Amino acid sequence: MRAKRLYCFFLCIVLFFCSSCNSKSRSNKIEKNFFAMDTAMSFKLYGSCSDDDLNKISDEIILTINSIDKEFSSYIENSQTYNINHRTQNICEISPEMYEILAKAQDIATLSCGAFDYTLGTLINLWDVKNKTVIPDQNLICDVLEHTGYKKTSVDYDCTEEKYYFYCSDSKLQIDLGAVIKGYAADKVYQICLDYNVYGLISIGGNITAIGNKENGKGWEIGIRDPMGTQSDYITTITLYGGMNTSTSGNYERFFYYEGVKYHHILNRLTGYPAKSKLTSVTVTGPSGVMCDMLSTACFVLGYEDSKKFLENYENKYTAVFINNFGDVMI
Amino acid sequence: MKKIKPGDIAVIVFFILLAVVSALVLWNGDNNKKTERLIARISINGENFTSVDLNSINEAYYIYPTEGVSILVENGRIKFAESDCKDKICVLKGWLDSKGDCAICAPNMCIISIEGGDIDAIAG
Repeated sequence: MRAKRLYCFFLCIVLFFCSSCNSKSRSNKIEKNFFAMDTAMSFKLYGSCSDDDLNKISDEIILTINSIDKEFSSYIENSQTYNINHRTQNICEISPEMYEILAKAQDIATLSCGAFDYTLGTLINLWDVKNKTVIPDQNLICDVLEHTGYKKTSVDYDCTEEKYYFYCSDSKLQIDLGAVIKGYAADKVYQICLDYNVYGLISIGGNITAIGNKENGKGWEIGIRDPMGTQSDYITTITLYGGMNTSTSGNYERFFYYEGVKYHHILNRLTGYPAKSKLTSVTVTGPSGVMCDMLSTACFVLGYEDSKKFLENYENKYTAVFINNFGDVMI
Repeated sequence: MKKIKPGDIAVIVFFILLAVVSALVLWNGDNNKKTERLIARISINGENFTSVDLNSINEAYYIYPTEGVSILVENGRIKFAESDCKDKICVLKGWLDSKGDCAICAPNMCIISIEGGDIDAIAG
């Protein structure tokens, strides 16, 4: 009798461990850190599929990001952006994907009154904040500014030919999709992960996408980087639920000092100079990665007060966390 | 019904200890890569407004969750700095610095509560 009871007890303990082990091994995990689009990227994904399958998904994600870069980077010869910037006529054919991106960019440029403007290619090249340490000549800035402006461009779909077109009235105008492509890539990667039924977090140059919630059903805790600190310091956190993205625009990554003044890479088309909005970073959260990417740039240029009004256009679908020059966090 | 002998108790205690130790080992194994953090959550009108990691504050700063309320954050602690409410109970509550601490400003429907948490990624 006693032996029986002990046997039952022992069996219960064995079953308990079996069930614990099962729940732990239900999800395999893959974690990757890599460099693409001139920035650091990483993801950690979980799924009930095998390690081999997770490796295949990981390869597909990296391949997708690299092909998006190849297709939309201004600096890669024969990319769509390169072809637009080297057009010989004021009209050129574009892919449906480029049409989709430019149509959204046009909308946000219009709603933000040019605070976000994807037609600053010549101005961005003139400043070249990544490589230069002196500010451009004022006359050059004025000359270049004449060849910018989203109002000079438009996109269209010809349903008879089933072709997409980009029009521009200014032959010297150049587009730059630096504030768009990372978010666009995040949306594509998100779709891949959904197709393969895996969940986790993707970070594309600081733009973060949550694919599903954590295994316990809770959202992911995301720290917003402290602009005054190192890459691992964060000033506040937000909870990111499955299907949501964050994108941060800040002046602490790409900048140089000239005669004691800081010049960063987020340019304001109205002045031709880096935006002076008393902000050091803006993090926008919402359901579309590409929208978050563009909106964070727009909000950074607009500043806190104007951004609050601007974001009302999106009826709480997109929210922002602002950090000002004093390090104050504002919502 | 036979009486339980000391040997039976010893066996039962042994298995319970084994289960507890194994559970702790498994739990730590799952979480040892995460950093334990003290997170202050601020909510307005029942909606999560923002969360602050109190372990990562280098310099004190203010948060303005709603008109009339300012919250001061320092390394490891947080408090209502100012409020336009009548009785100022929230401000008088002082610093919150431990897991489970909370302060409420009812007129402004603002709540600060502290919980332990993990960070999964950094944006920016």
